[in-house]
Amino acid sequence: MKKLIIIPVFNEEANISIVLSELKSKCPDTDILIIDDGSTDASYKVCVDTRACEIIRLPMNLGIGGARQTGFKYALNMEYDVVIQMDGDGQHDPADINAMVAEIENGTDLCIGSRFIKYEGFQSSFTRRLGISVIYNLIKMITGKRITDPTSGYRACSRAAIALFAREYPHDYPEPESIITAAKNKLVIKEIPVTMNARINGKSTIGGSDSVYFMIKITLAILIDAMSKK
Amino acid sequence: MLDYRLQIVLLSATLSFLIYIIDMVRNKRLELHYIIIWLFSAIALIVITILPGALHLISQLLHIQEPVNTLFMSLIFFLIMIIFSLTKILSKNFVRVSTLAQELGIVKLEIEQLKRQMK
Repeated sequence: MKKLIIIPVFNEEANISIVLSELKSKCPDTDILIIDDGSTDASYKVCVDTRACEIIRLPMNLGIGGARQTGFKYALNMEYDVVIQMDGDGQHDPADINAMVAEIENGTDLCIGSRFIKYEGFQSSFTRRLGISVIYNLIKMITGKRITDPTSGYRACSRAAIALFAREYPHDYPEPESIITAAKNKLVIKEIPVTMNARINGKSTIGGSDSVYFMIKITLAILIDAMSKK
Repeated sequence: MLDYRLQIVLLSATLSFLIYIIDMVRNKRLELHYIIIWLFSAIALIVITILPGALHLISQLLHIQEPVNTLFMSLIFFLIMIIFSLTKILSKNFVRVSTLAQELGIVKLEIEQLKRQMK
């Protein structure tokens, strides 16, 4: 099985080398692809120096959705069997990769790593969890599926999911929206428990004082996805 | 009825604008595809200025008391159509530019890999 880890990176020079060296030692049989989404710090150089990964350097900042889709397109071209998508901030523990890949081998198309099944490790802030429960209910209403951690960026994708996401991947809020895309295209979605850490360095890109506005935008995006053609 | 002064000003302004955009398309400085909506709006505006009866008729149909309000309303209508067409074009270009950026990134990596193989 050809496996590829996709990590979109935007100004993560402080965290990415730790993430990469850990991955290299724990998953020696898996290729790593970094997508540098127009970073303005030394992220690119840090990644090159680790000699642990291939790097796609995008000519401009496309946002997380566009960057990750680049990875799916690459995986489709190179005929990978499994794509594992991770964040570049050290939140995701490489120890969970094998369990997710095993799910894909058992016929799951999209395996989501959830921190809210066993409630271990970093559980995120109260407001963030409140937002997540709104998204959980929206997705349950639209697809009938119970996805406890719809904003988790720690996932594994089968060949069918890679082909779908290379063709069509949401730009705005890719984590929850891509669940709708996958459900509309009849992919098999499954969650497994994982343990997440707090970010090693720096702040998350989501949340803050404008989180009400953020929730309105994300709700609209999900509702429009629900209405859109597949 | 429209005041004749307003009629003259509107007509000359619209005509010169029309000539200006046609000239720009002729000189290949504008794409015809994006200009059609402007041409259509200008011609429609000329028609309703020359034929005061047209404006009057629309006003009566829509129960608008002053025909000049109908004129303003049609101008706003044209403006909305034009702005919306710009949003449509922008969305299309957004998708095209991101696809290009993604492909460019992948191709650059592939060149890098080829170079490594040749060494």
